[in-house]
Parts: sequence; C-alpha cells; structure tokens
Amino acid sequence: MAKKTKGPQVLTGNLLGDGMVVFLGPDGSWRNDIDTAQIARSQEDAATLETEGADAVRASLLVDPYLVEVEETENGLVPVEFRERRRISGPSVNLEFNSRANGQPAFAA
Amino acid sequence: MPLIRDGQIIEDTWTLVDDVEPLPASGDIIVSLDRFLNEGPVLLAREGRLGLVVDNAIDPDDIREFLQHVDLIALEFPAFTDGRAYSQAHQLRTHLGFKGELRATGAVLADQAAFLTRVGFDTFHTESNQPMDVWKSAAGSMSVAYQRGYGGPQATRRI
Amino acid sequence: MYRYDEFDATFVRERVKQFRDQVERRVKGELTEEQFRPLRLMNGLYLQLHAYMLRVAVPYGTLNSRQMNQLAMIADKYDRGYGHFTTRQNIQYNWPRLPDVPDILSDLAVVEMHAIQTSGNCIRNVTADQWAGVAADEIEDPRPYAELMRQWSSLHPEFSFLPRKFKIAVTGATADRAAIAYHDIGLRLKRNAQGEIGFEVLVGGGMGRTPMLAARVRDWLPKNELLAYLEAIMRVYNLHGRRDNKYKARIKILVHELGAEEFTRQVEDEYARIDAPQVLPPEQEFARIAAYFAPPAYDDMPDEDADFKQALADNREFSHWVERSLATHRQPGYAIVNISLKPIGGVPGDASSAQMRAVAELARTYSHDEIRVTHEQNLVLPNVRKHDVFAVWQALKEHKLADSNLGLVTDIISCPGLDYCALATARSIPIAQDISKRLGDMKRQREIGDLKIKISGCINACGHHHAGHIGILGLEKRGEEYYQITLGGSGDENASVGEIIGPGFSSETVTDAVEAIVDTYVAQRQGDETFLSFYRRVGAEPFKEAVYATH
Repeated sequence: MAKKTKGPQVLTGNLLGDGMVVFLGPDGSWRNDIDTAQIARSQEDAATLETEGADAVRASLLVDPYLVEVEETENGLVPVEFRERRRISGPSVNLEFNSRANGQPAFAA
Repeated sequence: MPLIRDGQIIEDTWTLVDDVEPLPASGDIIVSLDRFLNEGPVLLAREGRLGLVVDNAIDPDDIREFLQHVDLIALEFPAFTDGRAYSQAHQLRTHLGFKGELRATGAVLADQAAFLTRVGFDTFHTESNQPMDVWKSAAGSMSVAYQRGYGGPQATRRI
Repeated sequence: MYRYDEFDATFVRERVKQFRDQVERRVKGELTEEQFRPLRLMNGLYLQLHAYMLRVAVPYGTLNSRQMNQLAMIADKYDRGYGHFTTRQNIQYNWPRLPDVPDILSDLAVVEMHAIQTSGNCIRNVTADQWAGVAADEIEDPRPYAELMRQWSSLHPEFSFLPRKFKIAVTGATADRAAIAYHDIGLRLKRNAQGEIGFEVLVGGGMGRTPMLAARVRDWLPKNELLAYLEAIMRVYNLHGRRDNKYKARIKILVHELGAEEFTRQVEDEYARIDAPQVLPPEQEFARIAAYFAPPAYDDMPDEDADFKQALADNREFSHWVERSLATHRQPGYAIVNISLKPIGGVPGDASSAQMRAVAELARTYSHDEIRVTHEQNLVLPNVRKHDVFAVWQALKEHKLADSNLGLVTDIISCPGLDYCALATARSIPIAQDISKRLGDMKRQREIGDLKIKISGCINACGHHHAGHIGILGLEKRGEEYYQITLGGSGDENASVGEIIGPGFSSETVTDAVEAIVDTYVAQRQGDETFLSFYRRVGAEPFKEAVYATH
C-alpha cells in the first residue's frame, strides 16, 4: 500500500537467500546501493514499484518489500526515516567484522 | 477444500449444514454448536450421525454432556498460528473421553500434521493449498517425540 | 552434563531433515514467507535489519569444549568470525545465509546442539543459575529439571502455537542468579519442613512494554509433579491468553487481568483434571537424566592452595581479577571462574572464534570440560582448581578475556539494538561502549563497586533494562535517538522494576547523565552500601537533581 508521502520513493526489501538489504533498480534488478535505485515520483510510479516487489516475492527472490521515502541530496539518496538510514548503513559497531566492504555482494541476481 | 486423513485426500461423507438451511432427510451432518443448542431434539431424532463445529473460544467442558450424541467434532483454526484448538482437542480426547472423529478445519498446514495427530485429530479440512506429497511426508517426518500423554505414531521415550 | 542417546540424536537429526525440506520448499516457492516464517522461527532463524540471524540454543547455558569449538567453526565457516552471547544464555550469529542454515543445524546436531525453539510463539530455552551444580549456596541442582523441561518442551504437540513466546527459568540456590521473577514461569527449588525437595512456582513475570514481577502460584510443588503442573499452566495460557493484540499476549497480561487468585484457581482446576501418571516421567527416567549431572571426579584437596595464595600476594593485577572473577565453589580447593566478555569499549557479549576456541581449550584442560553462559552475557569455567587459577588467568589475558570488571559498572548488559535488530528503535551498543570508556578506569570502577547497567535498544527490553540498577532504554524521536534512564531495578531474589527518572537524553549526553548518577552515589553513599541499597534508601531525588538541575 503506497503511503501518502510528499517526496520521491524507492522500493526496498531483503533478499530471500542472505537477507541482505536491496533496492529495486531501473532495470528491474535488485541492488544493495540505494543511489542506483529506481525513483518513483508519483503514486502510480510507486504502485508500479510495489507490483514489481510483489512479483519478486512470488518468484521467491525477495521478502517484505516496501516503499521508502528518500531525499535527493548531493551525497545521493538519503532515506527520510531514521530507521531506514540505519538500515542502509550497516552496523556501526564491530567494523572489523562487519565492514560493508568486506564480502558484501555487488549486485543481486 | 480437501479432506485429508493419513496423508491422503478422502471423500467427505459429512455434509456441513449452516444455521438456517433445512436439514437433509438422512445422512451425516455437521452443524454449529448454536444450532445444536437451539434444535437439539430435532437433530438427535433424525437419521444419520451428528457432528458439531466448535469455535476455538469454547471451553470443551461446557459441551461435555452433548458428547455422547456426537460422532464428529470440527475444531477451528482461524489462523495457523492460533493454537487454541490443540488444547481443545487434547481435553476432548483425555478427560472428556471423546472417541469420535476430530476434524481440524481452516488454516491448517501440512507441517502441523504431526502435532495435530498427536493431540488427537483424525482428519484435516484444510484451506491451505499444499501439494499432497507434503501431507504424506510431513506427518511422518519425526519418528520420535518426548511428551507423554499424547497419541500419534511416534515412539515416545520415557518423558 | 547431559549426553544425547540414540533417541535424542534421532530427534535432532530428523528435525534438521524436516527443516532442510522446509527451506527447499521455501526457496522453490512452495511455501510462502507467511507460511515459512513460524517454521523458521521455531528453528531460531530471524530476519533482522541487515541479514538473517540464527539463535543457537545453549540449554540452561551449559556446553562443553567440543561444542564451543564447533560454535567457533560455525562462526568462521558460515558467518563473519564471531558470535554474540545473549541475555538468555544462548548464542547468536548475525550473518547466516538461508540455504546454509540446514548445514549449520546439521553441524550443530553432530555436537548435540540445535536451534530449536529459540524463537517463535513456543517455549524457549529454559535458563538456569549459571553456577548450577557448583555454587556454594545451592540447595539442589536445577540442571536435571532444566534438562527435563528442555526435552518436554521440544516440539510439544499442544503448545507450539501459543499466543506469544514463553520463557522459563529455574534456580536452586538461595540467591537468585536466574532472575526467575522476570520470567513467564519462574521455579525455585526449596526444601520443606520434612527435608523434601520441591518447587516454588511463580507465573507472569516479564520485561517488555509492561514489566511485571511474577506472582506466586504455588508455594510448594513436589518435585516429581513438575511436568504435570507446567502442563496445567501452559494449557490455561494456550486457551485463554490474549491473541487479539501482540503487545498483550504474554501470560503476564493474563495473570494481571484475571488477578493472581483467579489465575491460580484456573491452573489448579486444570491440574486436577490432568491424569498425572499418564503425563509424568517414571522415576527411573528422571534418575537417568540426573545421573548426567553428577559432580565430576574432583580431586580431594584442602580448600587452601599455597601457590594460589602466593600468586595473589605477588601479583596485584591477578588479585584484582580474582576479587571480581572468582566465586565460591562447593568443592574445597576449587573455584568458579567467571570470564568477562565486556572489554572496555568493546561490544558486550561478543566473542571472536579465536576467543571461543581459547575458552574451549581452557575448559578441556582446567574445568572438567565444562563452560557456562550467563544471562549477563559472560562466560563461566565452573570447575577450576584453585591451583590452576593463575594459569587460567594468564591464558585469558592472552585472549583479552581477563577484564577484572565482573559486576562492576563496565560489565554492561546490552541487546544488539539498531545496529543489528529489526525491532530496535535506537542503537544500544555504542552507548554501552561510550559508558564503558568513560568509566573504564579500574581504580574508579572498584571505587564505584557493584553496579549493573543494562541497555535495551527498544521497548521489547531484550537488554533487560527494567532489571538494571541503572537501566537505559533507547528510543527515537524526530529522527534522533534518545535514551531514557531508569534506576533501582533488580533481577535477583529481591526483584524490582526500575523507575524512570525523567526526560530522556541524546546520544551525546546520556553518558554524562550516567556519570553524574554514578558520581552522586559515590559522593553521598554511607558506609559500604551498594548503589542499589543507596537508591532504595534515598530514592530518585538526589539523582534527578544531579542530572537535570544543571540542564
């Protein structure tokens, strides 16, 4: 269900296989870099994203897709909600074990 | 909705009759507890066996005196996460001594078949669309169980 | 400790096969996520903020070196080289992949471990006093009962779809190190006037949004009636616990809404209906289980050890560590060695695979091959000869496991929080790290004395902040994390729920507030009263003044 929001939105979910946070890209692929996500600027576009998310769920590729409102800044797309900002940053602790540069997949299938 | 017993689809010889429908002249019927409470004598007088649908908020002790007249009880699973009917079934089988058919109806998954059998269910009237081979294998996927005082084909050791 | 026989081994093996099949069907799309979720939760697999998380059961916090080594192997092979010990004596891995999980469970089964029911609306890991079987103040060892309950609760056909999760804790000592008053069912072993062993049964404690201390439902339950009585409690809960509202679905709400008296009446009514001989295990079965918990072959020694005494005199660092880390063992000449997983500035409760292996080796060599996990996220070597304590300490030091801060202000309990957890509202670990660094000076810590800080990253309270002498709850408002402070909680035999002192603090100021609270206590305490005693004597006012007056 598309929320009533003012700003641009992207679609996110977690990959079924490894649970990693991903975003829907313009080419229909799922990628872990929010800056390459497809942006929806209207209710219709947002609904389209959600449909693609539902398809990915049915194809057992993705779980729990939902729309995330973002701000377009000079540093890229920044989620409006605090929790979503934390979600894309990865853990802020145990960096020697958890660094996003360490073994993160580039693009999902 | 298929009726399943022992991992197979079986024919349902019972007819579910709602609260206002006329009763069939003969044959086995299942009615709601409400209808039974309202039309008991009529239901008991007819030919054919009687089954009851019992809502999962009902205390089975409250229907204890009716059990002798009843050959089937259908217990409900409004969601497969709602586990109240497991306890209703167990009480019916143990201190209430019900010997008729216990049917689990509604949101019932094959993956729950082993548990359902152990608390005393015989048949599953399921709205889940799972392939039959899953029903076949699920019931037998655990050959051992720890808890005493329950039925089912599993070997129960000690506890 | 308990060893699996053919029956137990078959059980976990079949369970792994069952779950492997369920994962395959999920990946193929034959199970939807909605259908799969309760099934994977019953195998301890969560989907968290950044990845899956697998919670492995450590039954009543007990494991041996072979098992600890396997946990280390799993961390390296399937995860990122570390694990997290939890507030329910379990271990969590933060980065497993779904298709690998059946293999992980298979590797666990090989060493008699599993992840069954560490999540989901079922009976969870039964926890116990981490010094069970060795504590000097023990009346009766709770572990055989914990093992009995573990088996009884595993894949229970009637109680696997409860209104909500269900947590049981058992203690056998006069001191309560298992926080039984905060559990859905808390059991305390005791003796009656005839010298017989039985249980005090508490029901309806819990943390979360509505912290409550459990009500006493039975003052005396003969020990052999345990499983039948538990069945009565579970049945009442399964039938009458609320299912309309997830936040009101725990048994504590049922006990609270019915009142303890009515709840007890319903349990006793159900108990009267249960055909106990059908349900209770035969005496030989309990004896079979209890035999596994017989004391190991201790050396017969005097309590004093000359080498140990000498080392204490010669080495001040060692003696400080001993002061905080050793507990009195019931066997003369032995000590309970506690290991801090709270290095200054570190992540509370985490251990690298190398550290796990080090502890495993020490257990094998010095502790009759036994390790315990505590609900305060530390480890225990329960059976160390005093004669060997110095060697153990030296080995622990090598692996950065020898902080002398057990029970002190930097021995912080913290949930994973928003760094890991999908339920969290704020980060908790960085706050723990900050406080730890701020107050980390050893001299200062010893001066402060016993002080339990517990931090939760959301209202679900997995960090047990309600039971903290200082509790911290992480919340979020308008895109900023803020932290509420509570004081005066306790999880021991004089349990209490912490009280909030006032408006919350930002992540920049919460450490200052905690420091002000600690300084207030140090400045105003009388004699050698602990922080908790001081708070119970003077209340929150002095602290509120110190913390808020200047803001």
